[in-house]
Amino acid sequence: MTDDSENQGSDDFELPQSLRDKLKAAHESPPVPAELSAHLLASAKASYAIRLRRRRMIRWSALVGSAAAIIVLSILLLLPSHSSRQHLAQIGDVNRDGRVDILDAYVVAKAISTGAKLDPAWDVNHDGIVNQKDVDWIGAAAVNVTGNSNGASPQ
Amino acid sequence: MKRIVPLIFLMLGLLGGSAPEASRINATQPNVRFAAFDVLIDSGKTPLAAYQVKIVAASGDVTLVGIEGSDQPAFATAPYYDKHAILNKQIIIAGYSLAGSLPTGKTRVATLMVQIGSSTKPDWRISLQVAGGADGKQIPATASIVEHSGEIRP
Repeated sequence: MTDDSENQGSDDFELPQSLRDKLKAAHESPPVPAELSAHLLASAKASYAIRLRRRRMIRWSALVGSAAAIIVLSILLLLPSHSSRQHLAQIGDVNRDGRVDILDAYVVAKAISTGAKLDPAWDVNHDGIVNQKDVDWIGAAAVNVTGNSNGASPQ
Repeated sequence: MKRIVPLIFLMLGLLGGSAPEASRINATQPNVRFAAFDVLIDSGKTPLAAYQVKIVAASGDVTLVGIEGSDQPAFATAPYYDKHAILNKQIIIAGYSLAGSLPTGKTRVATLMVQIGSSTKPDWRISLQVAGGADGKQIPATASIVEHSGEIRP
């Protein structure tokens, strides 16, 4: 009783020697050979290097992928507007005066009505034949002021 | 049945009340009138085969409500126009004729039907974009717009 009260009050509490020996024996790690230690360290370093390389590769491919996506998107955004401008400049401008107006529609309409040779390029609605629908398409393009396609009342 | 009868009377009352309301709305727009304006192209001595004009209502409470062809047989068909622009203040109209006998001089090519919302006379700006002869080539011409005189075709 007196020993317990002394031990509780002091800082240098010590286990019995026999218990200390048993605990040490239970937790004592076996000695690791230096070669094995070196081998483990080397393989750990190699594994870390691989992981590092892989992470860098992923980062770079993400960067390259993003750049490629931006380039592709830019091309897709710019290319249609460019080609549609070309498309508008060419399609329907039958008399090649640089604009689509009623004279273009008239040229096609007259050729159809007189049985003259029809230029396949006049198939502006791409239905495979040059007919009144193409004339109306050109007429509609000539009077379009709101930007809505096929908004024109056919003649 | 006793519940349905008052409901029927209530509905009849509502219907009876709404009809005079609708007629009152129309009656409270005093200055609204409809008018027709003719689009004329003067191609001089050259036969006119095609035309394209831009028309802008520069001032006045004007709303385009319809476009018709002319009483001139060569341009009797309604012209091309952007139907989305019909309620706008500006429109492009265009037409061509494949008739054997094409008109010369001042030709009425189309008639605009407009709703005028005030007593002020509408101020039109008309510009000829192109006029063409029978060969499809551009010809010199002038365009004008005047209030329609005479009967408007139904």
